[in-house]
Amino acid sequence: MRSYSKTIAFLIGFLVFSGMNLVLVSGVETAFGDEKVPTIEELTGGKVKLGDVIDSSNVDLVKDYLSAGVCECVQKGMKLIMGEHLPTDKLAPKHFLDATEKNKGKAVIDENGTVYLQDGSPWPGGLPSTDPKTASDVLANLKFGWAADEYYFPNQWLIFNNSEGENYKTYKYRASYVRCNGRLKNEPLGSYPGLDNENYRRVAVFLEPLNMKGLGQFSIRYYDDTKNIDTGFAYLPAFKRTLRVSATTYQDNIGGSDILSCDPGLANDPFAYWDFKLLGKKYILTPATKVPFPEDDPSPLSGEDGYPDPSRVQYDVGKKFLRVWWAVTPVYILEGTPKEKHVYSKRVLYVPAPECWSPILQVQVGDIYDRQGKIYKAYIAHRGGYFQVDGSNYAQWYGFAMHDLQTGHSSRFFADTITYDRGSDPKSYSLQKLLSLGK
Amino acid sequence: MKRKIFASVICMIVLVLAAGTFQPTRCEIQLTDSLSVAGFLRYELGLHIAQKNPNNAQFGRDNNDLNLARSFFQMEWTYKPCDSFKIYSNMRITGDQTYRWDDEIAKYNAFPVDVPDDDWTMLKASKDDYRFEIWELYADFTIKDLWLRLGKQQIVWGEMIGGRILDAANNLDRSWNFLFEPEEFENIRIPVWSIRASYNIKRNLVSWLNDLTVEGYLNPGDVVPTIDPESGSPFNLRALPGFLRVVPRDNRGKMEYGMRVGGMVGGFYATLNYMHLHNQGSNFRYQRLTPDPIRGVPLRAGAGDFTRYAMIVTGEYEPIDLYGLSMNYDLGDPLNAVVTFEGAWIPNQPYGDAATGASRPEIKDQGTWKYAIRVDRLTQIVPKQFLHSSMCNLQFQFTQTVVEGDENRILGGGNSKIDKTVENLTFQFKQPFWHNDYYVACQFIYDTDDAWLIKPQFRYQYGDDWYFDIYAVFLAGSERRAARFGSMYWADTLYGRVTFQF
Repeated sequence: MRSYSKTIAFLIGFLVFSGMNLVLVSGVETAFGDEKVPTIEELTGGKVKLGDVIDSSNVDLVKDYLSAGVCECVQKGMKLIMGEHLPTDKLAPKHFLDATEKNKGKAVIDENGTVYLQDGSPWPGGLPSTDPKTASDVLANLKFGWAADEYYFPNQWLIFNNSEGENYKTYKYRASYVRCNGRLKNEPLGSYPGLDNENYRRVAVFLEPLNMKGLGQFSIRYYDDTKNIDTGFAYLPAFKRTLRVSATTYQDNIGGSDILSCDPGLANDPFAYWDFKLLGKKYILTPATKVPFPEDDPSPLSGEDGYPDPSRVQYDVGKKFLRVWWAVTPVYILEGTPKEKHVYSKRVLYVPAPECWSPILQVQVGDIYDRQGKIYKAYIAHRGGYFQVDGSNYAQWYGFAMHDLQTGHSSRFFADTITYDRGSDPKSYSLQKLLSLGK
Repeated sequence: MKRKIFASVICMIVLVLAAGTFQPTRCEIQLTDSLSVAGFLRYELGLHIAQKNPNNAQFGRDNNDLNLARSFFQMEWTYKPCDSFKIYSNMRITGDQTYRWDDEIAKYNAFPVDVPDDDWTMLKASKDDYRFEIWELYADFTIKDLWLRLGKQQIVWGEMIGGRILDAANNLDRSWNFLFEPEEFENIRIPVWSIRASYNIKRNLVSWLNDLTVEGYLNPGDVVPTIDPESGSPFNLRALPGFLRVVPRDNRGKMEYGMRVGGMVGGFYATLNYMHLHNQGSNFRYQRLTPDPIRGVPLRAGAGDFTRYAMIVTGEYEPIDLYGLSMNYDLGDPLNAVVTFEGAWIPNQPYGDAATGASRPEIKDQGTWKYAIRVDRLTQIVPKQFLHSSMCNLQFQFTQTVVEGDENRILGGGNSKIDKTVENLTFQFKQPFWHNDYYVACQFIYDTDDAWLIKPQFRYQYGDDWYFDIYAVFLAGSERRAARFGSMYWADTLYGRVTFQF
């Protein structure tokens, strides 16, 4: 009996310590901290190496390090090239990393991830939680951990891809966001006077096709989005009018795509609408920030026409999946269930740990479940490369794809590049701007 | 005639089939970094599906099967060298084949203008069945907090659907499709030369007021009245007695201007508006009698004078002042509805003078209020996993017009009696399907005096370039006074459109 129990104890110990890195930790004692992130080779015991291509034939080798949605996409024909991440100081600007260090431990975070200082003043900037212990800590990082005061997609395409993998419809789009609080780069720093109850402002406009041209939206997200609902206006070029629109209809599809208004970053609606649980931490594969192209190319994955550069990026299954590089990423796994009636029953967000933090829309992969509890959609961001603005490093961000795993239809936002910290005045994000962008 | 309609339907089918042979192309052609062109080619056919237009009986050819057969080629050029400067122009070549394809209707001018067409500022050249025009041409400048738009442009204030309360700066070209276009007024609101300026006041003057904007426009004299359908055309609205000779008096050269202030007060966004302009429709003013032995009638028979006279009247577009207010509020989750109010008071709204009546038309001003309240809501009617599309947009609107003082002292169009109040209820929905490749929509407007308009629509979009519309307009009701829907019981039309956009 004694030898039997010793054998079981040995087996348990072996399973725990010999590479079972499905580290779904109950509780959050195991911080990644300054630990070196293992390589895919280390995680798989040498079975998978940098540069290897994962497809449906060998996906079992890395299955434990894939989100459910990505795994399903690989089964459907997506291929992943094993790659690496850039170091933290190339992903986010120094002033953000400095502010994170300076304000470490000062954040007071409520249950919906809204952050204040002890005296009740707004968060001055930087990552609120460098070692998240709760779901609220992770949410606070998503809500207030922007490493840019402003970001702008001058040319972004919303591409519709059918179940045969053909791109059959495209909208051209332009969007920009500016922060009103936690400003670290552009004057005024901290809170913008008079807008201290706002988190950010957004202006977006369709550029193509002609029957959508000029259709725009101006919206305001408030600092505490549970107390103040968003304000939104739309400019309708067919009517040449600016209309007030409900900015809380987060379950509406953007332009009829697979992407709902709540989907960008998988955290675009107020967190108060969801019950979030921190499932733990894990190493998973997410799109890599380092790509094998010259580092001085600010947008190495996009071509001159703004689409993915065909000489650098291959497609799989028609034009459905981009064959890009994926890297081991430490993530916090948040599971959200809606508090009210929703088209989703659950969404799972894989939020990068601070060492893999990027300036905006940090969630790189996510799983969405339908009301019957079956996997419904896979969210996959497009990354790769970095560039400098006034000597500061910022990770490149092209957009993301949303794959409907039940119908085979997909929608993709793809931008030729992103622009950070142009220095726009938040108050210039206004109805006047909406009108000027219209026709 | 039937063969011609059949032929036109065949043409549309050929265009549809041709669509399948085209490879999808990227929209908008970027010629250089700063110059781009977009546009569309369209053919539109409107089949007449109601009774004969009684206003055309006088021409003896009113049994038309076509209300519209028209081709469009539109190009929008944009030159934008930087974010703070843009030049935009919209050029249109339009051909009308209605009377050529349907010999049951008399020849008419399909492109009427009520102002001198040799005026270069109108930027158009036309004959009875085609027109080339620069519909819009303007430059935008952004200088810090000031935004300027200079040129031939549409200026639209207000937020209401199917009605124009604060949307009064530009008049409409109702000559070819009345108010029935799916785009509502975009293709028929007549752009005029104006200066429009908007100033964003960033400093918070008071703590409860945010995003304050002051806006104004000035039309230095490019005043174009509402253009109504030509006599004899399918949508001809008037059957004037033969003895009446109308001399239109346009207001070219007279100034129009407006100003509004808008801002956020808590969760409300509100604007205060003032406009000085000219009435959209004309009123007759008596000038004199002149002997006319052919078309005249003995208008002075009561005084013992049996000479046949014609009556000369002027069609006047009277100056008016409009004071307006708009407000909107987002009710937020879980209602997810927006409530919008828009109202206007015109203290000098012109009407016909009941005291003189038809025997000696004069104009009488009487204060008039018009307001509307609308609720908009995006609603998931069918499960998203079935529709794969955007939500259904539901809109409900109540509109009321109230005349100040004694309504018996004034007359409406065609010397009709004016009611103290007129109420309209509007319901509109739009439901897209399958990634918004299809949608169905319908607008229903009910006049509580018993008249209504219903406008169902279906659109299919194929890729980036092609879309196909089928829509119809039905008007009916026992209330048949001028300007009421029932008065156009003869105008029901079934439309088909094929559009290739680039």
